[in-house]
Parts: sequence; C-alpha cells; structure tokens
Amino acid sequence: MTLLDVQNLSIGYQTAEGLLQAVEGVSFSLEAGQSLGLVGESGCGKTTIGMALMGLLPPNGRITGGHVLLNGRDLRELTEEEMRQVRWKEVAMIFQAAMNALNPVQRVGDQMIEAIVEHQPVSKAQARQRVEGLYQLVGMPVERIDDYPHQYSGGMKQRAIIAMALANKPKLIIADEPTTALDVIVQDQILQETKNLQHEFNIGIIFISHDISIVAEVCQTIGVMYAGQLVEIGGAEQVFYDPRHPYTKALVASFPTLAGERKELKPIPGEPPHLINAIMGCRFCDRCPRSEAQCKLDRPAWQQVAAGHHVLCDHC
Amino acid sequence: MNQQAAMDLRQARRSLWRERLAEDWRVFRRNPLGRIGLTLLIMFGLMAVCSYIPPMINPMYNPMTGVDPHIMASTGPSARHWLGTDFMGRDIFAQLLAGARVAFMVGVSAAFMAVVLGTALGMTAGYMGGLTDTLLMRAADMIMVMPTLLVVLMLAALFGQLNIWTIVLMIALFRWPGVSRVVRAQTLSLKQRPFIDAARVAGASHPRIIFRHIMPNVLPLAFLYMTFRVTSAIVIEAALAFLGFGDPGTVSWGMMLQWVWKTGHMFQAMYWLLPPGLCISLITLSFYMLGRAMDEVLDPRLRDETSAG
Amino acid sequence: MSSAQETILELRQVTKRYQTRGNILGRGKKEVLALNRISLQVRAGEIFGLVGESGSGKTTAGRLIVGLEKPDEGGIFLNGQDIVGLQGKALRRYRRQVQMVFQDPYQSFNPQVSIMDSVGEPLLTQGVAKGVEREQMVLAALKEAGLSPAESYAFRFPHQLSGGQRQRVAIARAMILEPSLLVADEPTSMLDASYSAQIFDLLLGVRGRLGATVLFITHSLASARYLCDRVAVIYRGNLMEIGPAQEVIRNPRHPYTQALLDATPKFGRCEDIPRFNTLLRAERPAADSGVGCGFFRRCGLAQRARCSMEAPEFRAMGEGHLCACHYAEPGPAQADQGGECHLGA
Repeated sequence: MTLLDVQNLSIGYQTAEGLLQAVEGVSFSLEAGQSLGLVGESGCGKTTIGMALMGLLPPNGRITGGHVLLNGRDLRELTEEEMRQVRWKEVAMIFQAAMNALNPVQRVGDQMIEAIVEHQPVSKAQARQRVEGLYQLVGMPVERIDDYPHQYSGGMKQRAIIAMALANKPKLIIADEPTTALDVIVQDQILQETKNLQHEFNIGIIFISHDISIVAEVCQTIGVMYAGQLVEIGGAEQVFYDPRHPYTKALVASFPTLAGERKELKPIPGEPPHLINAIMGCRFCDRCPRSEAQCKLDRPAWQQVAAGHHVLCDHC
Repeated sequence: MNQQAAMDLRQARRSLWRERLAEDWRVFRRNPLGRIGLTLLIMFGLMAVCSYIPPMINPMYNPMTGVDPHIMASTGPSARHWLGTDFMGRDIFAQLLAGARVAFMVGVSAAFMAVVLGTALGMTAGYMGGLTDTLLMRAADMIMVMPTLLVVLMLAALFGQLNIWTIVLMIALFRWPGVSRVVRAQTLSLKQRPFIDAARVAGASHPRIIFRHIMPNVLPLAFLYMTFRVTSAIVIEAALAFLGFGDPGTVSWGMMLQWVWKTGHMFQAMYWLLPPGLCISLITLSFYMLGRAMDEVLDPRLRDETSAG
Repeated sequence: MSSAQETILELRQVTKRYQTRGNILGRGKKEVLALNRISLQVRAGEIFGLVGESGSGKTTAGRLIVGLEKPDEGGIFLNGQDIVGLQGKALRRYRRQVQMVFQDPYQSFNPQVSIMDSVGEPLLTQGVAKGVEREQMVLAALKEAGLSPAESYAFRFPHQLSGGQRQRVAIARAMILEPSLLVADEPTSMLDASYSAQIFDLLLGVRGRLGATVLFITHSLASARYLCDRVAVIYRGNLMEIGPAQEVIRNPRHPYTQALLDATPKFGRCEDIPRFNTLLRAERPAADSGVGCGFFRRCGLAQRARCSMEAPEFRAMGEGHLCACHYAEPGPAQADQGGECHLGA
C-alpha cells in the first residue's frame, strides 16, 4: 500500500514583497520501506516540502493547493491536535541543523523519554528501556544516555537525533540534510546505519539534500527539484545515469566525481529565477542550453521517458 | 569615455545609498510604534521651534521674565493666556514651548556626548583587549553602579546651583558605561568575524579596520542607544529641576513642576500641573518608541547579513 | 603541471598549538596540537590540494601561510624568504604576493561596505590605485570573475548577492593585486553543488591566465581530484600522504586516506574505484603527545608498541608519492575488492 501520496502540492510564503510560491504542483508517492531522494539547490523548495509534510511550516507559510495523503488520510484536513499525534508517531524528521534540535539544558535521555511518554501509554521506566535499546540500535554507548548535548560530538548528536526519530517507530522519516555538518567518515557510518535501520523496520524515508552523491547512495527513487517544481523523477539509475531534463544533466555534469577519468566539469551558468514573480513557461529556460522561444511561454508538461521515469520538459 | 564612465559610477554609488535608506525607511514606516513616536517628536520639535514666537509678539510672553501686568496670581486658561498663568502671571503656554527647547537641548546633547564617549571607549576596549579592556571596563562598572541622580544631587548640594550645561555634562559622564558595554560586546563579536580577517589579508591597518570595518557596524547600535539615553537624560534633568537643583536661568518642564509644587498649586491648578507632566511623559515615551522601531529596522538587517542572505 | 619545478612555498617543520579555554577554574585546559611538524613544498604554477576533515588543521595551515597567525615553531618560506615574524610594511608587501579566499562567503564580507569598496580595498591599502582608476580596476576584476555586467554588481551590498556570486567576488578581491599565491580555504563548502563547478572553473582560470599558484584546502577528495595537480592528506595536524592527486586518490597507501576514500559517497560508475574496507577502531585513549603516528588512535593496522612511540617517516611509494606509515608498502594498492556500486541502496 502507498505510504505517502503527495498530489499537486503547492506551498506559498507571505513575504513583504508578496506571495512567494516556494513549491508548485509537486506530486510523488512513496511505498512503505522505500526511499525517495529530493535534490536541488538551496531555495528550490525541498526543505519547505519536508516542513509541510511535518505540518511545521513557519507562520507565514501555508499550503496553497494539493493533497498530502499519509496512509490514505489527508493531512491537510487534520486539526492541529490530530497533527500533533501524527507528528513523531507516524512521521518523524531529522533536521538540517540537528545539532541545535536538542535542548541544551536537558539530558539527552530525558528528552527522548519525554518524547516517548508523550505519545505512547508506557511508564517512564519502560520508556527508558526503550531508549537504551535505541542507543544500541544506532551504535551509541548506553552509558551516554544521561549526558547533556554539549558532551556529545557532532556525530553522536546526529545519532541521538536519529534514535529520537525512531523512538516512536514512525512509518515515515524525513531526513533534511542529516549529514551536512559531519565529516566524511562519520557521514558514511551514519548513512549506513540509516539504511540498515530502514530495512530492519520497513520505514519509508524522504531524504533531502543538495549533494547528489549522498542521495545516490541512499535512495532508490530520485526527484530533482528546481525553482519550486519537481522537474524529473525516476529510479536512481535512470535519473543519474540517463538524465533527461536539461537541469538534471547540467547538475550531473557539474559534479566532481571519484569515478572514471577526470573529465571537465560544466558549470551551470546564471542563477535560478525569483519566485516572487509568476513564471509562465519553463523555469529553467534562461539557463537551458537548448531552450526555444516557446519554452518561455508554454507551461511544460510531464513526459514519460521510460517506465517510472518522468520529465517535466517538452523537448526531452 | 573616462569622464562619462566616472560620472556614471558616481551616480551608481549615490543611488546605492539612496536605495538602502529608502529600504530602511520602508521598514521603519511599517512599524506603528515608530510612526507614533516620530509624529510626537515632530510635534515637540515644532513646539521647540515655536518657542521663539510668543516673546516676539509681546514681551509679557517671555517664559522667564515676562509678567502680565494685570495678573498677580495664577489664573486658568483664557484667550490671552491659552494655558493660563503661573503664580507671577507668566504665560504657561510660552513656558511649555520653552521647556520643549530645553528638553531637546539637554536630552540630545547629553545623549550624544554619552554615546560618543561610550562608543569610543567601548570600541577601544573591545578591539585592544587585555589590560586596556580590563581597566576601561572596571571603570565603567564603577560608574554604572553609582546612582546617577543621587550623585548629581550631592554635587549640586556641594557646589550650589548648577548651570544647565554642567548638568548635561554630568549626565553624559554618568551615562556612557551602558553604551560602552554594548559597543564593546559588539566589537568583540565583530573582531571574530571572517571579514576582519579578510580586511587584514587585504592589507588594512589597525586604524582602517577600526574606522572602516568595525565602526560602521557599531554605529547603528550606538545610534539606537542614543534614543534611549535621550529619555534618561530628560528624566534626570526633570528630576533635578523638580527637586530644586535645576538651572534657575532656564525654564524646563521640571522647573515648571517645581514652581507648581513650591507655590502650593499642586492640586489646585491642574492647568498648570498637567501640561509639563504630560510633556515629560510623552517626550520620553516618543524617544523610547522611536528606539524600539529602530531596533526593528536594524534587527532583520543584522539577521539577514549574518545568516545566509 | 608546471614544467618549471621551482618551489614557491615551503613549510618547514611547522608546529602550531592552541590552548583550549577549559572551565571557569581553568580546569580542563588543554593544549591542542593544530599542526605537528608539517613540512611540505608547493611548486610554482601548480594547484596543490590540502585534504582533511574538520579539525585536521588544514585551515590553520592556510591562516599561517597568509600571515593571519604565527607558527609556534618552524619556518614558512615564500620564494626562499622566511615570512614568519614579518610585520608592518614588510607584512603588507608580502600580502601583495599571497592572498586568500575564505570559506564562508556570507561572513567574509563587511555587510556595511559595498562590493566596489570591498574588492577595491587592497588597491587602496597597498597604494596601487585610487579614484576612477581604482574603480575601473575593480570592474575589470569583477568581469574576470564572471560577474557581468560588472557595474550592476559593484554597487550593491553583499547581502544582495547569492552565495555563489559572493564567492566570485571574493576571488576577484583576492586576485586584484595579481598575487603569485592564492590560498583558497574550502571555497565551495558553503555553496550548492551547482555553484562549485563555477568556482572550480575560476580557480583553474586563476592558474591558467595569471599563472598563480593555488593552495586549495578542501575536505572533498572528489574536488581535490578534479582540481589539483598534487595533494597532501592531513589528519589532526599530521601529514599522512603526499603525491600526485590522481595517484594519491586512486592508489592511496595510507590507511587513513584509504578510509577516507571508502567513506566518500561515490557517484557515477565506480567499478574502477578500489575499496579497502580498512578497519577503523573506536578511538583509543591515549595522550595527544605528538610523539607517535598521528593516526595511531584510530588505525586498525597500528601496533601499540611501534605506532604510539615512533613517528613514521615519509617513505616513497611511487613517483613523487610519499606516505607516512610504518606498514605501507610501495607498489599498487591491495584493495579488498574492486568497489561495488551501491547506487540506490
């Protein structure tokens, strides 16, 4: 059964200059136990989607259209109280700046016990037992439960956050740049850990990052976002080895790799468009090497290029 | 071509600053507190400017020496004296206008001196660090814990009547430590910022780093503090005057209150008591509101520039 | 690589220590060895990569080289002249030859100073040009850095530009004096991946057009491989391995470099990348004495008796390829397996 079904989701921010359409018409779905990666530059709307799925948009942001179905239930129709129940119990999030997500004046273990007791009918002692189990699960020494956050290293905080996300056995985890602040070796360990836990508990993961190499390592399905829109979606192999959208192609060609011969990188010229102004045609056309006059005027349509591989471009 | 190009560049440079100011003004105007504060201040400003008019119309409207020959005691409002007269028959409205002038003079000059002193010492302490920092900050602490009003009262008792400029100077001398603390903290944090390293690598000398790179980032904050210092300077002057230690040669609102009190009109002549009382409250309130509004102009800009733009 | 193999920059036994603050009673005050007897030579005209994780001392090395800090021991030589202890005029003259691009483009510009004045600052302080001439030079430098029309960028404040644009401005500022050495401290780590390639292009241009030498400090093996002629791998203040970039990254001999390569997320067809599965151990408790091998505490190969007591010498592993490990052997690397591609989990 489909775990998460996002249909035509649009999100806007009310700013001083007007409505900023941060996300427009994004659709994707995720099966239980699968992982979807959202990649794109900062400002492309990937973090906004994550926040919207958690019901944690900032006060000036709101969903302006579309539906978010979690196990068939539309999250937009839930009250704030119902949403609070869904949050952490069914959907958990690993934040971008996870380092700062822990309360500095409370012991890490106490914070996790609180999160469990809040959502489940268990005693504190039972909750503590579960926290100990979680620590073992994410590869942390159990005796560190009673430490304060500042006594943890960056990698340990990140693991604690992952443990916290798992505390209520959610069905879906949203991981927003979970390893950006970490060193390569720690990052690798945490990514492996995440993958293992995902398989073990059959959790669906939405993995948000600007680094295509990390997303490529973790996710089966890849969605590429540009200027608030999803522009290409498909299997990891399809999207990265056979990219069709000019933006995806440019992104892949501008990324230095360790594989193969050293080949010249091709930078993407220009900057993404401002989302304050309504954009009629394709959003990438100003930077696109093969744009035609018509691209600027016509709203591009989704094309299927292979089974499960779709592109938002009229000329692919 | 060079001439033309240089002209264009100069123009571009000018429009850059115009844009920045326009932007700040837009944010400021959105803030209701700021609008109210500014309106009130403009009103007080007009009062101060207008204070020169009544004595020109008729010498009896001179706030200090003008006495209505027909009036021997305090009277209520009338067509001749809009707000009435005091015990000697002096026009209260004219005194009120003159009081606005004195309030601006005392408030702004004391605050300005306090802020200049506080900024200079705070920046020095923050940038040099070490012993200089310790000495300056200990001195600041010492002054900060002294109750300003009490000390000034004692000095006044010692030296007799004080000139209004002496009072201004004393307020400034007692009010700089707060500013210097804030400026020092800001300087310390600025000193750590990579753009200071960048300036050093670009070959900037210490004076250049202080004046070109740190000062422009500190000044908005210092300016903000000035509005709060104005408030406290006005209040201190009013208190001194009310307690009878003001400059007998100037008509300030505090002085007016003292006259009301001393002549026993406190609860008999509301027309005399209320105007100066209200004016003191409103002018301090308006500077305070202006400060709060400026805080909000500065804050998002500082936020914008420190985090990802 | 440059044909003239002249050394432009040399670090000789450079050591730098920091004091940590400790708690209020001064307890827990520790000395941290940021750089431990680092020696390396950078050749004129090359792009030299200094690769390491955070806390490895790579940024400290950069700051020492541009004279923002002083080493506790050792010497730093530019064209044979010792620059440690330069002050006043001499230091200013030195900075005409050595410039730096900082990591964080959001923090390395004064928010109150326009782009024009930021980029033109070195011209003023060095007394090179002022007035209209200075403005023309700034515009030319911005154009060089790919910001055109330059006029529309010059008269803006930093916060009105994107991160990628700011980093271009930073390069323009660093190159306006045409220095012979540019230290680029992780210039792309704060930027989106799509901007990185633009910055790499500029750095290649800096070397190509202006003939400057570039010291590229990075945590990313992939960008080091793309950009650099030679690389040095540094771990907690100790150099581990030096050699031609392609050689070090594709045929690493030091267990640390191998672990780093294993851990780097691969992208693309990676059958040809060796995988070592080097064992990293949980950190061994040992004093950071600076005596033994810097990697001893985490190394799976390390023997306590030898590695904790005896600092490994650099030994040649191949043409210009040096490695500081008691157990590294010359010849092709012994990979456990020809890396499997784990694309899509």
